[in-house]
Amino acid sequence: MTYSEKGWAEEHVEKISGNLRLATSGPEFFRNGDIIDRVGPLIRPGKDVSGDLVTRQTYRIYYGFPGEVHYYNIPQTFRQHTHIENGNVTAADVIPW
Amino acid sequence: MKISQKLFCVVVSSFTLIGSGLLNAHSQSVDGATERQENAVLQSLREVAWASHKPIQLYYCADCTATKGSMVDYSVPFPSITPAHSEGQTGVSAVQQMFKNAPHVSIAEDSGGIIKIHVGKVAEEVLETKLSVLAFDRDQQYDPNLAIAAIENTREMNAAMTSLGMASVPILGGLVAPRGRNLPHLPGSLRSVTVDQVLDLIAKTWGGPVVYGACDAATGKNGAKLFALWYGGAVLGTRF
Repeated sequence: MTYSEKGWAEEHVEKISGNLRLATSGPEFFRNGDIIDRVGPLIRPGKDVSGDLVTRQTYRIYYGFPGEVHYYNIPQTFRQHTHIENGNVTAADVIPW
Repeated sequence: MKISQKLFCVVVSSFTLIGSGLLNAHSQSVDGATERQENAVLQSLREVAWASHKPIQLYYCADCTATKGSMVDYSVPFPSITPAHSEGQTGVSAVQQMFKNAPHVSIAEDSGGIIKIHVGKVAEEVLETKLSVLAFDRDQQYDPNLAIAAIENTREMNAAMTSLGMASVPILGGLVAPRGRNLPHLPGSLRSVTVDQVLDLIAKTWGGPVVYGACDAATGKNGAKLFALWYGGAVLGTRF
């Protein structure tokens, strides 16, 4: 399958459980065929933070140009998990569902 | 990076995610409806921002009293709002239409052309914090959520949170914006600016919505009022 070198990636995230907040943003530009998804917190949590988050997520890729945009779904669902214990991130990963 | 960050990046190359660990596959969704509402509101706001060429910021007062058992709820719950359809309208009128059924919402376009939405009475004192110098590294210049993380890591912001009895919640995940020539980005540094002014700049650079939610009660550890600050918009790789 030939993939677009550049376009926009959109992640569709469903929170399964947890007490932490996920960044809910829109389509993100990518190029060179690489999409980078960040797991774990953006900044180091305070020492008094403990919690976790489990999400189910899929990705959709948009490509083309104005007036003719196409998309396809990446045929794999992923599970993301983050666990923070007293400010230490003890788990932050994404695995196929 | 200048600031101390612990980032965990998963690179998707040829659209194959690499991960590790084994997780329980039978967890139940407890926040599905809230998540869908939040996603619907933010998606509608993104569409209005780009269709109207009007940057947007959303401030909300979060009902944080309904915590889950003994665990602190760091999600700073998004208000329960179902956006109404606003086809055929643009700018402030589109946003007003979108929130027409939501109580305690005020919407106005400021002198800089930014549409600012307030849901409830939001504690915004921490956004008035003055930053003497705010330096962005290259990643932070090109990624709005990393730029917001840079704000939260400043000495002034940490001092303000302490004096106001507030604490920011960890924001997890998100797609990472690439950096490079001709892509929208922030300057390398800003001097003598307030946090709100930086958020304005972020909204104008990428469109927004920039989202700030503050708890209405002190539900954090040590009696802190929690707040969440993140970029909920799109990063489309073109000038907004």
